Amino acid sequence: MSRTFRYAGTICFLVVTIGWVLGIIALPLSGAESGGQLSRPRVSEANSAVFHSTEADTAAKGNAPISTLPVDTTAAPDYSFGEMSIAGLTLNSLNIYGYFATRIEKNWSVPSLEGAQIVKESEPAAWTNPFFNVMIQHQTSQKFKAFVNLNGARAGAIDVRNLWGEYSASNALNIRLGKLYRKFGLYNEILDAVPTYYGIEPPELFDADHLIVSRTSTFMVYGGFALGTGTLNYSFSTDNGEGRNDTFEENMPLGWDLNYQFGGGDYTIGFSGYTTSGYSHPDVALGGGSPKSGVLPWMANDRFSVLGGYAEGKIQNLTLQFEYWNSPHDAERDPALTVRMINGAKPNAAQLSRFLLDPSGAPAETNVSVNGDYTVNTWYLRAGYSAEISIGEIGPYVQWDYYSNPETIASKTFGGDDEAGATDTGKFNKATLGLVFRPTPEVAIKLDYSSHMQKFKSGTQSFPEVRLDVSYIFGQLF
Amino acid sequence: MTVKSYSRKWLVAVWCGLAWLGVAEAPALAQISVVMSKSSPAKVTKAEIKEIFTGAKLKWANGNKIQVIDQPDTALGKEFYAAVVGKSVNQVRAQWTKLLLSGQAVAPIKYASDKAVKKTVAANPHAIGYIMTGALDDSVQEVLRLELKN
Repeated sequence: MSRTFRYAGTICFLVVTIGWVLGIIALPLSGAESGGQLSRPRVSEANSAVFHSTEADTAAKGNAPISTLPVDTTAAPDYSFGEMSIAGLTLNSLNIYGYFATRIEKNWSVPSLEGAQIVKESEPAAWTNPFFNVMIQHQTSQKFKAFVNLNGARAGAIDVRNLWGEYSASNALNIRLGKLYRKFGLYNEILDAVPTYYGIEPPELFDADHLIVSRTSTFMVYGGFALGTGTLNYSFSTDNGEGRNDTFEENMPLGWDLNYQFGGGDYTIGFSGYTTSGYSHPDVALGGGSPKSGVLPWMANDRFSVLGGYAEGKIQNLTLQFEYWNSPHDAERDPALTVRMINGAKPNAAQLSRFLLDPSGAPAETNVSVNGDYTVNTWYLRAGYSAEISIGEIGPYVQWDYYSNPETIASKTFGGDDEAGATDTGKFNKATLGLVFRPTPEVAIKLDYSSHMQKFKSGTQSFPEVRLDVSYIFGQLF
Repeated sequence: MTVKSYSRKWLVAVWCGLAWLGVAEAPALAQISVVMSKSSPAKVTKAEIKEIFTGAKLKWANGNKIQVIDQPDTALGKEFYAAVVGKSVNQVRAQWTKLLLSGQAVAPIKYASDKAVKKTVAANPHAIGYIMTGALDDSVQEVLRLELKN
């Protein structure tokens, strides 16, 4: 870890901690927030078929400063949820909540090579032991808040997914500092909110086996402006770079997002992008598993960018989503690491023809093709429908995912991906059909079936996968 | 059994039928008032109310957090969400939960009476809530009135 990164991490931690402590101390002393001056949003001329407003009898106020008024504590809020009462812990503005989940996955008839023969084997069911996400959110003042997201995927291993503080100068200017998820497409920020969206698997863009961009960043500026009948939102994020050896001085990546929300938030169209702004390096050692960024572990360096667009529409109870991403890599393979990878991971013939100058020759450093330029493409289409029934809410959904990465290999241990890497072309399609059932707002039971379709040994192979995910949300809910 | 007793039974049956129809066809809530503190200069449009109560708009223009005061488990709340958002309370809950679990927002404060909503809104210039128009008084300002179709 570079010295710069350590300094940045320490500063972030101190900022969040100090802000938090000050907020906890200040709130009981002050009793209320200092009043700001509220905005005067524009008044729409639109009329609804369902209701109409009588704004004429609404008194317009001037721009006089607002006096500070103490919050009434006699009218205690009700956080109960009928018979499923699970009141969360709320102290001043400190909110603690999260969810428990467990998941079972099983693949059948997965094709692989045994000599020159294709054999199909079923994999044992993989049961992810109950894991949890605990979120702590503290609104220390009207302008400042802090957020922590702790993930316990395995007993004894707590992963700090998020730890950030945020200052809001205005709706158009917010500054977030710490370990944070960058705004990127429809899913990056909400990917840990698994119980709330359609589907179990993340879009291939953010599949942990083949992330095409790092999910977290260190510093983000974002905001929104009223434009027409909607809001134009922007964000810029930067950090220390992708790799463990990168320093802020030599590599200052930039992520950005621009989207337009309209229809009362029902429709969103947007674009996101990312550039390493220089040569970046692997963030895991070869043999250490999947990278957490877009740089494969056998690369010496990699300058890459990601650009894509997305759209979401909520039409009554139907939700439609689409994203497309393209990521060109200007990369150089490290000959020694590439030889180690070839000897350990045994890539297929199509992959060897990329890695070696003479694919029929021995995997020696002098035989490695150093030029590792490649392009990743992925897109998906998702649709989900929400219906209220007498015993809760059901949501059938369909998804189609496409992913293409010619550089990847099948071995996850060596940083590859056992989906795209197990094909001739590095491409696969995945069709998913599923159902989410929420007997109460706190419980989500999801079951889905996917069919993977890919080229293997010049033929088209497909194999099924079934997943079951059960989650329980606790704490302060709406 | 006499003709008179038959007539009485018919009268009771007709009365019960009319009473049932009366209950079944009770008028829906006609008017909902969106309210804010009297010290708040803000005005909101119908589109903004939809954005605020579904979590699509979380901050006022000056960056202050919008404090949503809600009563989703009441008949009024169900009417409000059906009319303003076109979704059920549970569907809106799912949207808020997504924001909660990603750290973008905290849940609205939930009450079960117009009186409690008025008290809290009156005391907080950043808060917004809704009540039945009939419960409107001088403690809060009405920023928008929604007339529901029966």
